Amino acid sequence: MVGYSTKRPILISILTVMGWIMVIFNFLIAFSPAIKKIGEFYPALYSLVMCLQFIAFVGIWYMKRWGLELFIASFFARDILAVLMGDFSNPGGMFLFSFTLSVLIIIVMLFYYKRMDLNL
Amino acid sequence: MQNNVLLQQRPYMLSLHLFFESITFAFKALVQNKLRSILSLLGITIGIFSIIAVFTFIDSFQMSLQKDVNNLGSNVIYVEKWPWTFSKDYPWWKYWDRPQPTMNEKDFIEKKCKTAESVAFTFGTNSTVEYFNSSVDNVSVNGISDDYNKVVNWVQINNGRYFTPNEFSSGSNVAIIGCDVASGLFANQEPIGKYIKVLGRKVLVVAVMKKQGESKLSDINMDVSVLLPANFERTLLDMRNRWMQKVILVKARTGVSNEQLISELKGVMRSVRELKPEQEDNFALNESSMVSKNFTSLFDIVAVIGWVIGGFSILVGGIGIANIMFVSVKERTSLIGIQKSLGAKNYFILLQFITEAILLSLIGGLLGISVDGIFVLIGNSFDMGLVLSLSNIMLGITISILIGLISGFIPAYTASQLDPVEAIRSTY
Repeated sequence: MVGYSTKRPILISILTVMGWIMVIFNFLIAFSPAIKKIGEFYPALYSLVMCLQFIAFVGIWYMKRWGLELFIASFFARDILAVLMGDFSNPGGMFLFSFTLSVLIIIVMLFYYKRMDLNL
Repeated sequence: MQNNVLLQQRPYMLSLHLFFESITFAFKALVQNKLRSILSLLGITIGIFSIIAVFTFIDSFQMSLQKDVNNLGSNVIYVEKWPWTFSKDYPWWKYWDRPQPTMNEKDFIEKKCKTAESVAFTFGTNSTVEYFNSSVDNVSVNGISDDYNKVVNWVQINNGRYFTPNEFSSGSNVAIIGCDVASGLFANQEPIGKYIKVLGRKVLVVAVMKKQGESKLSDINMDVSVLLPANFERTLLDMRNRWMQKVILVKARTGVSNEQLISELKGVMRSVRELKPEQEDNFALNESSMVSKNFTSLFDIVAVIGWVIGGFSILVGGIGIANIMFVSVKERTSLIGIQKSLGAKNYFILLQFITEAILLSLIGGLLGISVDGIFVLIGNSFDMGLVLSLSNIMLGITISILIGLISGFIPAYTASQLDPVEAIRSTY
């Protein structure tokens, strides 16, 4: 195999587990009546982005660069989608929590980016 | 050999070939473990069924509600004694002594209100309607003024004609009857031209209305009602009866909002009732959206309950699929090793297991949607007017595919990362 595997730091493990929990909750929120009211196809697009984030966390768990790259892309995709659809109605502090957690994950992961594996 | 050359020349053909091969592998795996597959997709079936059933029910009910709002008239204001509010602290004692709207007030509004297109007055009571030995009980007998059919949409004549201006002004004994009243009184006869007995008087039937069904917004059911000219019905009833409901209906001109009409109407009503500035309004200005808003909040609660139940079922179903996929990977570890040693790429193994998970979940989702379809058919046989919309079907399919992708990705990725030598050695 080309490349190398890296031992996963404990911080990444914690953040990834938190990220998975966040994604699962957001995935379920995607099919809530409140989200469905925003647009007919918004739940499908929103859940697709959540799905990509879940896959990205799998990549991050295995210390793969594609994981972080996919996570950054899906993070922007989700926020662009939310701005385009005018969705700032996420229940409670879930939106703020997931936004803060996502930014934290990206910052932390960028420190480890060079140590991550290049392969699939 | 020829096939291999073709695949090497066209990479997209190779991808397609690998994709179909993955589907074949997935199908074989599912068929080999029928009971396991059925049990694991049951969670998804229940989840998709719950979510789509709730959305279908709510969408259908909202469509029907919208139809009722349109019938009541989204741009019609109802001047009444009682306001249409449904809060717990309804101060009924404040409204009790209010005067009922009158025909004179209707005429005053007609003259003074510039934003009103047409104004009508109606009042009524419930009574038994008879024709020889046949009778229909609890029929809503309403006296109406001449512009009534211009204000509301529910006077839809199926057979016959509307009242003439002369019949209105002279108070002729003529009637327009609902279709259920017509079928109740005249089983196989033509109702037009026959005299029926309403409130103790003989009345000539001049029209029969179309079947419209029961309104979900109000207690209006035109199928079991009789319309009489207001000037005729007022001679049959005690107009001072405070229990009798009297309403002035005011329709806004095109381009005039309900707020504008309400604002002007408020001034006109205060003026006709000679209310001083410090006195409160002694009338209510109601609009159809006030009722539909109450229903909307109820639907929101139902939708959230359905979503929570469906969401958890889907979550459990997804965990079930993930579990079954891990078992599948474990069982086929040596096979994966052989495939990899023969040149299968990581992405092929990944694709193979993801396809299997998606297929499993999709079958579960399609079953859930089919069960919804059956329920819709059964519901519609009881005239419930349910509609399983394309967007809800697409939503169900999307959820199934994405749940399959999420729950199958980790097992599939684990399988794709296996070392071929270690995998072949596996003795599961």
